Amino acid sequence: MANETQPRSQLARTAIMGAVTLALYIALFAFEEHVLKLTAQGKWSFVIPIAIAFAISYFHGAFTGGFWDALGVKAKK
Amino acid sequence: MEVSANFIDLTLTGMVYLFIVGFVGGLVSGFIGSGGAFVLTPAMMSMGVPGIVAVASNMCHKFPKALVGAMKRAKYGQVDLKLGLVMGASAEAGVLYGAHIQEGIKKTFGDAGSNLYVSVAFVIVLAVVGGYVMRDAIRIYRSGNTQEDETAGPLARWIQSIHIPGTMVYFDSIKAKVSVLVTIPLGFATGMLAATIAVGGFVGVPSMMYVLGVPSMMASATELVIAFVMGVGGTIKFAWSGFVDIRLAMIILAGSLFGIQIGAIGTTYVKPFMIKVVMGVIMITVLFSRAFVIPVYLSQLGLIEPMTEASMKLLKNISFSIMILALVIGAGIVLKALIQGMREHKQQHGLIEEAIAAD
Repeated sequence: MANETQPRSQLARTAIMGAVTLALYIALFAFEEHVLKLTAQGKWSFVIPIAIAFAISYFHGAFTGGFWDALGVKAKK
Repeated sequence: MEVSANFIDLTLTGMVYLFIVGFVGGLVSGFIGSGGAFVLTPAMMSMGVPGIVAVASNMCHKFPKALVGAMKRAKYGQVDLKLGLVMGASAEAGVLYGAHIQEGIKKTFGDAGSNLYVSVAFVIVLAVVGGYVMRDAIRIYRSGNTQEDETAGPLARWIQSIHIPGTMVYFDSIKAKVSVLVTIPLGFATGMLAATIAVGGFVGVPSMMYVLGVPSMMASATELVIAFVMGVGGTIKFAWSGFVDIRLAMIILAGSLFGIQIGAIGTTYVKPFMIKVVMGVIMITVLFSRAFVIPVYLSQLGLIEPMTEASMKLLKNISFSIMILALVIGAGIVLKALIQGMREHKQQHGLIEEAIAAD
């Protein structure tokens, strides 16, 4: 089914995005204490949680879009 | 883990719980442009997260979610970026002012006073706006003319006819010029509501539809731009004081990005009035949820006879359950509409292909 709905390159891109997302989440929780210390410092370190949110949303957003596409859940054309 | 008393130890159950609530919240947000946030903050607090950390972490998941949703819906041509940014800027001011009022009330009347203020705001706004949206959705459904809301109503036509030199801005979504002196208070009210009940869209989307004359599909998509602007501002405000628990925010984001994609896709299969149906149903259900906790806060403030701890806990649990029910009902309607729309589309597509093959 997946091959019918998405070309192979698109599936590969989705898989890469998924792998990067997973790696980011593993890193977030593997270094949980350190990351929390950095993000909870306040003042100008506010950029750290914002940067993390942007980075994860970029990769995870692309992955979730491709994920539903691969399952055939697509917008009406 | 010993970082700060503000941050709880996360369990796997807690993570799965937040992921699921995030998914359902994202699904509703992708469809109506907002919603979900009103459940996420209490959901985190029910896990022992301090209120301010729950609000801060909610904000931090909100802006990337809104960004992904807005980009998705922009692909479908549903976003009026200029209107979103103009309203977003004034919404930001509304958030700051709303937070200032909240702080003042908390200082004067304590936690119970602040909670009562939030609940009363919930009930009044949801009763007035939610009731109007719901009534309008029922009227359109009964009339059988489900495309009707694409035309501006009498209030919007009047607003569009007002010309104040030096303040007029052209917006693609209404194909007309409107004075920013009209959009600024609308954005401000959206921000104030966001700072009070966490869901500015309950004012933002209806005001764009009924006051400016924006089609409901575009209003709900443009709300995502407003939510992004408010979310970034709110995150900076709370992260500046170190209140964001990035783990909580990112777990909710993980679920909500799966949900927001489906919600956004769902809008391409439904008739525009379905936005009003989902919004109206959620608003009215949440209204009942908040009505249940008002006696608790009245009792804590000594304005009515004191209630027992057990009674207060019961009312709070009923309220939280109804809130979750509101989100589940909204998500259920979106999913049902999506599945039905996809099935009909597939059938139509099949018929066309059969006709071509027969030729």
